[in-house]
Amino acid sequence: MTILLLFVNFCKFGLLCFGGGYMLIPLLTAEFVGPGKLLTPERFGNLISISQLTPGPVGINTATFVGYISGNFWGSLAATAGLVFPTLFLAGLAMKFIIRYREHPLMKSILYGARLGAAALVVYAVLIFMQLSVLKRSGESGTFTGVSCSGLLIMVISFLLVKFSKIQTTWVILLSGLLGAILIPLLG
Amino acid sequence: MLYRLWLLFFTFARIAALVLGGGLAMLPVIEETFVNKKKLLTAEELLDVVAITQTVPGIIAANAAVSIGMKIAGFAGALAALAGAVLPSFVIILIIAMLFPALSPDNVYYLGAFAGIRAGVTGLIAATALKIGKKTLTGRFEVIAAAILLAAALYGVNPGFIIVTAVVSGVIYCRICAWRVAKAGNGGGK
Repeated sequence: MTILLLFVNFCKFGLLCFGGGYMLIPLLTAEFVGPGKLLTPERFGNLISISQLTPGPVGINTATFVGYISGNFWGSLAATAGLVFPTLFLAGLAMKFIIRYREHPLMKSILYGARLGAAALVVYAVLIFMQLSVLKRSGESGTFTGVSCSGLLIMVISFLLVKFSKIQTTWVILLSGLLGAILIPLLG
Repeated sequence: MLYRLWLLFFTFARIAALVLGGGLAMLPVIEETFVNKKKLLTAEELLDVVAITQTVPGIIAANAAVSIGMKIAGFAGALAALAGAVLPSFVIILIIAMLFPALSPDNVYYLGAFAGIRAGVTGLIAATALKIGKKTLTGRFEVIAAAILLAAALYGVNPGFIIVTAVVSGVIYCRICAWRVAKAGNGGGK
């Protein structure tokens, strides 16, 4: 696949993925995975799990990875740039619009509602992350088997640290990683 | 101006290099840097950014970088923030992709460290959510509306649709309030 085609393809993915990077998985599967295509399902599965286990936005990680496989360095650059290219205009324009009409009564009531929705989604994110870090799951089906004591402990520590001390979030995150590397193999 | 561009680039690079899972996991670091320390955003504007990131298509981290960059330093700011958000991932994954056949993600300490980061980030977002909740949920309408929207999200409704619904109900509610105030004003006049 030529580099330009890769760029255009990922632009398309950037426009189509509503609700963030996880939407990329079905889009990429349709385009790149299967007999006679770039990736086998197993390889694609490995690639996704590495992208999720590596720091950074999952969508960017995945795009860089797939881009590298289809066209080495320039491929990964084209894929990543393509993925964020539409964002630069869409999110940028949306913000510009908000700034320009900030004082208009209709815009005020729009933002009033949007903020309520956003607050609800932040609480939703907390619940989703708890599910990923505090509950234990087993196997492919992902059925819940119990609560991870160390996950719960780390979550509570980080919450208390950020709430009641002046410590920087960077240190909280690094400390959580260190605690995880020690506690999770021991306690589960 | 140059300082702002650098701050945007550096902060988003830090977020992308550290925060696992992307998306709203980056919210606590954004809040810490731009709202609490540098005072370049207000808590309300942070919620506008959340609303934009969830409604506009694209990677959430990139949406957040572009909208915050745009607010703080215009188009150049959007570019700087976006470059910061992309660069660390790009470099890390490039290295991993080159070593891919040799690398296995099965090491217990590696997995443990990342599970620990995820748990720590959960605590951070919970603290941010608490603060945002206190600011936003100031009355009965707000609490009930947010609870319904949360229930919809848990039921699996698309986040973009949730924001749109919230916008529509917010506009209707503000109309009703304005109408009531006007009516009460007229009544008081007589």
